[in-house]
Amino acid sequence: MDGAYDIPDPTDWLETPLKDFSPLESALHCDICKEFYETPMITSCCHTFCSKCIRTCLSANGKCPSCQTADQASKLRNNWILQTVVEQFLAARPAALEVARRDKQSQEQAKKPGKRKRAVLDSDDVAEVERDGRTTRSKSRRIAASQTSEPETIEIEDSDGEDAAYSPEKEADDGLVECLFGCGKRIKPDQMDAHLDRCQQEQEAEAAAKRAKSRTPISTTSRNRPPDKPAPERISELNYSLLNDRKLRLKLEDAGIPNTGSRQLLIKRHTEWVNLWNANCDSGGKKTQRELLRDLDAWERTQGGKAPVVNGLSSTIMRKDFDGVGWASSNKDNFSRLIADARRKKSSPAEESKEGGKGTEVVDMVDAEPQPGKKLQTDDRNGHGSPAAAQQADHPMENHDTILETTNDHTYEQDHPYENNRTALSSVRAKVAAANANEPIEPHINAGFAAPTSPFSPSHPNNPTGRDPSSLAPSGSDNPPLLQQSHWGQLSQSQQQQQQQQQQEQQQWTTTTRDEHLLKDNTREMCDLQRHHVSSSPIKMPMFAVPSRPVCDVDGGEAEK
Amino acid sequence: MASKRLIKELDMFNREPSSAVVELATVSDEDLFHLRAVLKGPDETAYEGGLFILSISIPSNYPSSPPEIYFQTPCCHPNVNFKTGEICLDLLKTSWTPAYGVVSTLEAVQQLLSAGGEPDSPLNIDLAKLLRAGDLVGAEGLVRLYTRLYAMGR
Repeated sequence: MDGAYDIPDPTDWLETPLKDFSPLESALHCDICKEFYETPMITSCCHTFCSKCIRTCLSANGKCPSCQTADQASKLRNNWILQTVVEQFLAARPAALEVARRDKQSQEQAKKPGKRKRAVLDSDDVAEVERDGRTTRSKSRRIAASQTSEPETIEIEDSDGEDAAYSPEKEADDGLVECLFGCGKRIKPDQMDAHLDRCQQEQEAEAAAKRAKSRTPISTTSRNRPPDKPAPERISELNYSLLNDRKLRLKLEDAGIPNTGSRQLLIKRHTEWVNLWNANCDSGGKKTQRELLRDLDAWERTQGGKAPVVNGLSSTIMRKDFDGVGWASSNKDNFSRLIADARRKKSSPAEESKEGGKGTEVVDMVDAEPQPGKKLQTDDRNGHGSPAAAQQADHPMENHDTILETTNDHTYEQDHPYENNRTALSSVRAKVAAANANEPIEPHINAGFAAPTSPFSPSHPNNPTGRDPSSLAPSGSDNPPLLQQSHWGQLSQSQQQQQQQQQQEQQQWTTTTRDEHLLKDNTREMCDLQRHHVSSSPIKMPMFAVPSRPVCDVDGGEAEK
Repeated sequence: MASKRLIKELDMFNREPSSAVVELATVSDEDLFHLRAVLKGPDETAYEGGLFILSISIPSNYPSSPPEIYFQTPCCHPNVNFKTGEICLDLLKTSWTPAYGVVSTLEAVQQLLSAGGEPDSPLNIDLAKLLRAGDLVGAEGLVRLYTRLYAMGR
């Protein structure tokens, strides 16, 4: 053990032959600070702690640290005898330890030449102790019993101080009677009463003086309280809840301690001050107020207002703890809010386009032909019903919106939905390419609506996308819009059956959609409402299909949450 | 007071190692208040053979308030949060007293492991559910699996 790191410790004894001193020393340690008792105080549950420790503890939770019984600081009493024991032990410790170590060294030296047994002491046990370094308790007790020399050296110091004051009494046989109060005088029996009165008074005065002096009967330490200086008064604890901030600050000022900081800090500081002060009172006022203030300042720097804020290292450690709980809870709100915002933003332009942008963009939609992708997705959704699939299914819808809004600068969103959707994307591209190759129609329609006979009608029988029209027949009300959208001029079979007569005639008008209507609105031309009405039914489907998507989307989004 | 006592405890641990705690040291030399401990999985339990790393942070008013102890190695136990490593032990919360120390608290954590925990106030709901349903074999198997996965063969 190097000198710089020399902390008195019970384990010091373990390496020496005086192993039993280790538990003895442990017993003289406070359970809270693990130091030797400093001004030991006994609680009402008969546990003993350092004055400062137990006061801090009681002010924190009001319970005895050993047995969890509720207690109050005002009920603490000094454990003088323990204090004496600790002081005596501390005084004797260095010498005893030195002797014990020297003994061990000599044992080791004796061991080196080869004498294994009976090196110094005549005990097998001790030799055994050296060999394996461990011993049972009973063994070590026997060892300790076998070598009483060191403990005796300790005891000697112990016993000289007090007894020296009293001289051994001599018995005399002179017909006088010794004073009953033990003042040592010998008096005639008939004078006894008078003497006793006097003697009692004298003795009381003497005893009072003596008590002040000999409370700690060691003369070597500077423990003796000056008899003339009265012990400082203990401060009572305050009921902080009854004081407002201003009064609390005044109290602190009266106590002579800093009164800055938050209310909580004020309370903590005052509690600490009360503990420091009262602990000092317990010890008989060893410290001056200045020393106490220095102690308080040390507290302030470590635990009070000037305490260092958690440094980098601890913050990284905290962050690890934080990841799971904090991140999930705090970011959940942000995240859901952002999602909600995004959805709101997205849904509103979609609705605009539903109302305003229909006319011009229907053709674009047809052009892009997102249906295959969408068809894939809807199949997915039906198939798995998993949230992931549902989420994916959102994308084609978004795509739909954005296709509707092709003119509304939503290029990012337009691209984005297909990011996770390679198959759909590629199939869409293929379809677009095929459609473009076969029928470069859109510009014509958008440009003019010049001819009511759309170029679609001739291409329709050819089925340019190569799909089988029969597969597109709407079997229910769920999907038909999607399917029909893909074939601009082409009617679904059922509709064809229903409207075959009309449509054979009117199929050339199928392109007279609301686009035309709007166009005519703009140009103030009259549009042929009747024809429009009739022919609008196949056309109407894409119109409704498209706006219906964003609504779907929002619902889906809410369901996700 | 806190640092003085911590030094004492660490010193004491170095002189008299505990059977439960394989290693106890500060994370860095500058900072005494953050410790790292390696706890041995108690013998004859499903945690046997596992070595669990725990991070300990000591409050500045130690020992008036308890140290904060977290499992860094994922530990499958009804009263240990598998993800955060939080330990539900009354000793670390309400019934802390200054008479305990870091090492004794770690020993209490080991006892928590060997005692099998209290499934009625769980932090690991899945395991607690198994225990409450009486599937002791399943629970032990799960514990063995996770001990093997995370706490062995580092």
